[in-house]
Amino acid sequence: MYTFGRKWRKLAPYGFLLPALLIYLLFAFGPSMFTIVYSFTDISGVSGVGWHWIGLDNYQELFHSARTPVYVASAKRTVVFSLSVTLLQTAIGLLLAIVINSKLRGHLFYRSLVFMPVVLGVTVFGLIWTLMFNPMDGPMQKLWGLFGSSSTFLGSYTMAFPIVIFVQIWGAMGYTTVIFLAGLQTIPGELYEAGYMDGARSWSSFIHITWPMLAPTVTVNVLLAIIGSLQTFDIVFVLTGGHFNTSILGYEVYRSAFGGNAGNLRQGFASSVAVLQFGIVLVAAVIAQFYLRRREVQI
Amino acid sequence: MLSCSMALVFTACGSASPEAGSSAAPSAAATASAEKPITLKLATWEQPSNLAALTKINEKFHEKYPNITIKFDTSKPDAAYQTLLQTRLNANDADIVTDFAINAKKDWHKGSAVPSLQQYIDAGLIEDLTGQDFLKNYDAAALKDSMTYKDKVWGVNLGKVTYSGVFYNKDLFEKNGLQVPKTWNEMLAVAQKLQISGVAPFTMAGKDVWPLNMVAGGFLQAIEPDVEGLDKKLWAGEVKFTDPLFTEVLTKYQQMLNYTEKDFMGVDYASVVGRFASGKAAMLPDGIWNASAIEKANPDMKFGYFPMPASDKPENNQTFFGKYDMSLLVAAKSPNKEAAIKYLAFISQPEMYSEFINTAGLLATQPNVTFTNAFLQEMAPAVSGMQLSMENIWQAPQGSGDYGGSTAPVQFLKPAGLESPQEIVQKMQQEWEVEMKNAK
Repeated sequence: MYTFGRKWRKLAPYGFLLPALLIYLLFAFGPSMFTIVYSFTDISGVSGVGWHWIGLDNYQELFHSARTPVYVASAKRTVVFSLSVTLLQTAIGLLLAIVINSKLRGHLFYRSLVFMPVVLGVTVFGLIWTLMFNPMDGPMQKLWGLFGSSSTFLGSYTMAFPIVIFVQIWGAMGYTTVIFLAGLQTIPGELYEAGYMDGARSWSSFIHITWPMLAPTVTVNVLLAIIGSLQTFDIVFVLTGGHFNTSILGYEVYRSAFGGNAGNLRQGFASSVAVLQFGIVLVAAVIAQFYLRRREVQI
Repeated sequence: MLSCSMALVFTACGSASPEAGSSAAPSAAATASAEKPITLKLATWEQPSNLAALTKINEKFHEKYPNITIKFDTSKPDAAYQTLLQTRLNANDADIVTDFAINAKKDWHKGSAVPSLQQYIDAGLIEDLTGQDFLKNYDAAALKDSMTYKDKVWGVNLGKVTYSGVFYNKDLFEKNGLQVPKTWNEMLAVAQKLQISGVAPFTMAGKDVWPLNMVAGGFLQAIEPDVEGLDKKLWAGEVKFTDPLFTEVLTKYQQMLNYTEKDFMGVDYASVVGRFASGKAAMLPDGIWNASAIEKANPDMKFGYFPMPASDKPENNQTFFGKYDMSLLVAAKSPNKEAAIKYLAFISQPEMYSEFINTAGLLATQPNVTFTNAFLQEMAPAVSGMQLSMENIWQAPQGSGDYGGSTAPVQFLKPAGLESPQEIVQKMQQEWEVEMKNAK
């Protein structure tokens, strides 16, 4: 019996939730709402400068200025980026998880190896890949040379974006793999045994047992990948500085808020770009959730 | 208890009551500055020669004022530094800060963004230094052009730099019997001879893009020296980007790019000095500040620096263009203002300044400096007549695109990018017209 009686029992859970909820409201939800509010002002990044309500002027600029084609291209590229990264990252993560899960020799070592990029952080592995893709006698250029061609890699208007996608997947597949590993381990071994008795071998056991049982894990990974990739900016910043057709919306938000050119202290305008990004993320996440949840229920 | 901690939160955010904090500070600082240990934060960017020069000064300063220590607060010298400066000033977490020049926007720049330093001054974050004694040590022109705004002086400019020049390998030139070119045709002839002899004529740091734009600015000014007039006419619509001037700039720049080493678009700024210093390329169009980096990379190398002769007229190719580089300013809300101003006075003394400028490798903004560095001493007469470059005068309108926001968006030009001069100037003009329509 609880010492404090019935009422306390009912309210206690909320009491325990309260600190976490407050922190979330104050440091996550609150600022996000403020971003939407700021997008209707001309607030600058400099404290002490007055700011004013300017209504939809920021959005007007976003959609009708000389820079609009850049934002539109950036938004399109963000969608392409997110789709490619999500699909490839999920597939590769699943493959790696199955391989590691098969208890081959050294599987614990491979698990740490796969997760290493996540531990290193974007800046470190971004710089490593910049060195790898150095067109002046870097390893990748030597490889390209074996096939008789050469490239400026991260300085090329055609190659830079695929490279950014590649490095993003390389950097984040550790997360996906580890989550899939956890999911794989929840699948009861008896199912595989039963399947084996019924004649299922590797491919059909994957299709009929592993894949359906992993549905919730797939949901988690796909959602994380979509939302994460739609918000990415750091990998672009480190690899190309936003040049050579690699700028995605996350980078454009950074550029408007802190870009460093004279007068790029326009947090109000940057907020409107961030709201645009939020809109895209919201739509994508809702669609993905709806489809994935339905699939889970079916299974 | 709760209200105390709330008050703490508000003062930490720096927004609520600036008056209360600053009135208490000066008297306390004045009496205690003699004994109390003070740490001054010096925010600046990571340019190795600047940091080396400042470190020397800091040591000497500490000897004179043992209770004051200087601590660096640094970041990479690009957009990252602007972010650092913004956050420090806004958090009242700065004592001495570095920036370029104020370059306040002109009256005809309707609707264009206000330069960040001008914004900080208008917001009261920078200390007014008008009337301080040490200002007299500097060239009046330098102070006026770089640090004067609304008839007050806000900082001291420690040096200027030029970036419309070309480093050249003297040995390779001699080997091929080449002279320093004085016109554009001579430049092309030199480049061709070098290419035939098997060495890449030019190298550039294409990956970071800004070095390309920086050099292109020099092209424009050699061909059209009256940049302030050009700026006014652009804004008034009397000059268009589709006029022959810009096509000439882009065409000539493209000719230079065609003589630039293969895959230069993948070379970043940190590596480009190595390409030149190791003899892989004979010429490097760059800012004069890299002279010390070249010397460090290859101490035996004999190199010189000449203005990029982009014009067909030799008389237009004799001037260097550049800007005021590192300036020191004092944060108005710093609790150690007196100490910070002492530091500025210290570094402005002629002997200290000479030492600083010789290590930093900048061009002097004080008169009568002797250079111990042979290269700088050799260059001193030629660069003393340096003029302010285009980027300090011209301003892009708000909401400008990648084409209409620059007077020479050469990163899109073949072979760096995928477009021809004609395509680029068309896009520049189209964007400019949209920007002018939106400018208010």
